[in-house]
Amino acid sequence: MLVIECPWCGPRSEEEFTNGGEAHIKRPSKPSALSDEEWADYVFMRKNTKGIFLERWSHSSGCRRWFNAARNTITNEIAAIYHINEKPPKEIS
Amino acid sequence: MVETYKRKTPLANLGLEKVSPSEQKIGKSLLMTEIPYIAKVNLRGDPAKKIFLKGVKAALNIQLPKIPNTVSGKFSEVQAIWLGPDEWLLTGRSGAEAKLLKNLQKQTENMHVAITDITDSRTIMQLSGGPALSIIMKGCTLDLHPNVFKPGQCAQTILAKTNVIIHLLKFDKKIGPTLHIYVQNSFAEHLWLWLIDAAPT
Ligand SMILES: [Zn+2]
Repeated sequence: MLVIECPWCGPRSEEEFTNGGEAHIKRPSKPSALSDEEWADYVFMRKNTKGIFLERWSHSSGCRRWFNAARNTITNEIAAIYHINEKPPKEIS
Repeated sequence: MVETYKRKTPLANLGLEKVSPSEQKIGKSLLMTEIPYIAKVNLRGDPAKKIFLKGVKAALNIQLPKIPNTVSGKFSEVQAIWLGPDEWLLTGRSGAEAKLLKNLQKQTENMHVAITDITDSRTIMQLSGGPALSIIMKGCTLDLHPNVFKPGQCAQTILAKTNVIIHLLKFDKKIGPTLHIYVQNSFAEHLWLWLIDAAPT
């Protein structure tokens, strides 16, 4: 079981959280202008990173806030936690 | 709002009101009491806006806690529990919800806020006595060590697979901890029976 540090509540058990998949995916500003392929890419296609992966988490059974985490998909180590509207720390990206 | 005469505590099935006053002494030193019908109001607003904080202060006569997972005010009067950076659970005496709503609406008029009466969504279980925290530890991953979880602190977490808010009111050297567990009505019976089951006899 992972211990994840909610930016608001501090370290809590993984069971209190929900994983929200890849972070920093921007909704296209003009969806109607997109081809089917481009839309499918936005909706379905995600990276499958080996190593540091930027992903969203929600503290769903706690304060119910979303935040971002940089997690190493090999070791499960969490290298950084940052707020939902922030960019990943420089040393990571 | 539920008509008062139609109100029924979610633990009514257990016939606790016949065991006066709906409290149970478990083992030697644990006292479990349901405190139903406490007024509960969910408040959302931006604490970076001074005018919002000022309005809430005028309505409730207490400051909203800004530190995550802390509680301000008094349970016997008005209390504010931190739920999120822009969200609080306010409690007041049984029956006070209409007045709380009215005061808040008046003082935050035309502001970007959400004020919701959630009085009948949850009930409160009060646990007091030495083993209270060790019982909770049986079904909760929260760090409840006295060095970490101190009086005046609260936490939203999972207890016995149920979402709860735990508030540690005080830690008396003789009696031990006194805490409140806020649980949703539909999970109340399950949690009450689980607590009794988990308590040392
Ligand atoms: Zn949290």
